[in-house]
Amino acid sequence: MNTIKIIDNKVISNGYNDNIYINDYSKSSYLTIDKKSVFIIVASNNDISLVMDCEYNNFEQDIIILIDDNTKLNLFEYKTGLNVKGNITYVLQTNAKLIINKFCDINNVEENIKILLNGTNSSVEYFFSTICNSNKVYNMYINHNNKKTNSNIMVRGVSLKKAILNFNINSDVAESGSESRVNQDSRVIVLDDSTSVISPKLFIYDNSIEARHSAVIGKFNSADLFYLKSRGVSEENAFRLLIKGFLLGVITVPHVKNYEILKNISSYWE
Amino acid sequence: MLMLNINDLNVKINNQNILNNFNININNNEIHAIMGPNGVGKSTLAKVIMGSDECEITSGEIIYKGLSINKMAVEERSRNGIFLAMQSPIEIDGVTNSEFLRVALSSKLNKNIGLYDFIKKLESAISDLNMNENMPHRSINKGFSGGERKKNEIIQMKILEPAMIVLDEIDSGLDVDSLKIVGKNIMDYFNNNFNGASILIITHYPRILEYIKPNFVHIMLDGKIVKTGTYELALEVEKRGYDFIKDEAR
Repeated sequence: MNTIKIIDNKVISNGYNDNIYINDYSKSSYLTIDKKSVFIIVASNNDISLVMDCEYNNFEQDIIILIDDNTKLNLFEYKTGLNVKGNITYVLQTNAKLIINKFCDINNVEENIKILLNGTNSSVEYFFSTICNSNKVYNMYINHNNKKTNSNIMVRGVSLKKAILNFNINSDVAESGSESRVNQDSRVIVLDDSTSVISPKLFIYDNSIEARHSAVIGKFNSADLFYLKSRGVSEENAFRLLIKGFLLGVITVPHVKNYEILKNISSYWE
Repeated sequence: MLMLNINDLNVKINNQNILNNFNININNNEIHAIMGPNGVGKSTLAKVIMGSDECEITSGEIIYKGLSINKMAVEERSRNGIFLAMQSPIEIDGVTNSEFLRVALSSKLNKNIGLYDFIKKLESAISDLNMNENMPHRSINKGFSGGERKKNEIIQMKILEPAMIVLDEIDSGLDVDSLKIVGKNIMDYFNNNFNGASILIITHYPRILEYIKPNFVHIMLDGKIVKTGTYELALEVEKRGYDFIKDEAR
């Protein structure tokens, strides 16, 4: 497994090869991963921003990201490709903070996402958007393994044509995770003949936990469509605007990826 | 020239009669105000003019510039110059005001609008309404106060340049200063529109009518107009309430 260390904004690559590209932008490190298993260690007293670009085609990928004590990582994940089985694990140490914004456009994907809140006071904010016209399954496991840990999982999906979009989100707070906070907020818009299943599960083993969840599958609000159409916007364009708004409303997209993602969403109508 | 002509209109929402043989004629360059207690069908009137599919027209006709629009799609009504400033403008997260308005204006004019000209026009409208200059980059009405949402409706009106303007409680949520700004912008638009415009304003209070001076004030009860007068009628309603009109209507 390739190992990449990002220490105090400097990327130190051990096992760097043609399949991993690291470019320095002014404010964020930019990581392109198109093969192999990768282990990334992030350690810093300052905030770190990382853009991770993964292009998959017909293969499995394993990524592990370890966020060291007192490190805050802002990660933007952009995933594209076809026929993928992916595993990604985030390990958070004491006082580690992870903010993930993620946009995924992979046809036929099964992704297992594990977030291990191992350190006291560690926290994750996970903002995820996806659009699909094929089958996608996302299995998420958020394990609160220590006290005063926080997780906020916000997921948005749009399914089109005959797509099947499934989210299985499991938040597990062990007895050792006292005084932790858990939130899940999942919403999917189903269009055409597509279907979706959201399985929000909370496994709580301590009474001091504050936990919430919501899961909504439905269509766009007719009042929203009426509002846009009342300004002369055609039904087709109204849907485009609403889909774009729904998907991008929850994630913060870095400037460097903005155009690509807009083009990606638009490609569903070309 | 007759701008809007509604003849014997009957409208149901959720199978319940809301408008009952409603009639009104609005000429070009006229301002009509409609007042009435809650639940008499004022907002339904606004929605049915705009073509909301919540409203089922069971009989009667809405004629705009000489053509029946009963079956015209919402977006077509807008492109032909009908504008509804909504009572409760909705919030759409992720869609910026500028993107939305540029798509709307391009749809109306049936051509792509140059970015420079559009931004210039939008910035001018924002400045006129005394709104924050970041407004174009914010999601539609997200985090806007009630007053900002109403101002945003008027910015949209100024960009889209409609001929028939329906204002559904545009004054609700506006503070005294904002009311003055909104009133002035609507009247500036009305007075300086070379092609002519008409306004139908729905309100509960005569204060907005100090700025948007109506040619006619209509009182609605039970889904139809029961009394028509001038601005003085609005003042009388504020003073005496609607009971005297209800008594007259009996």
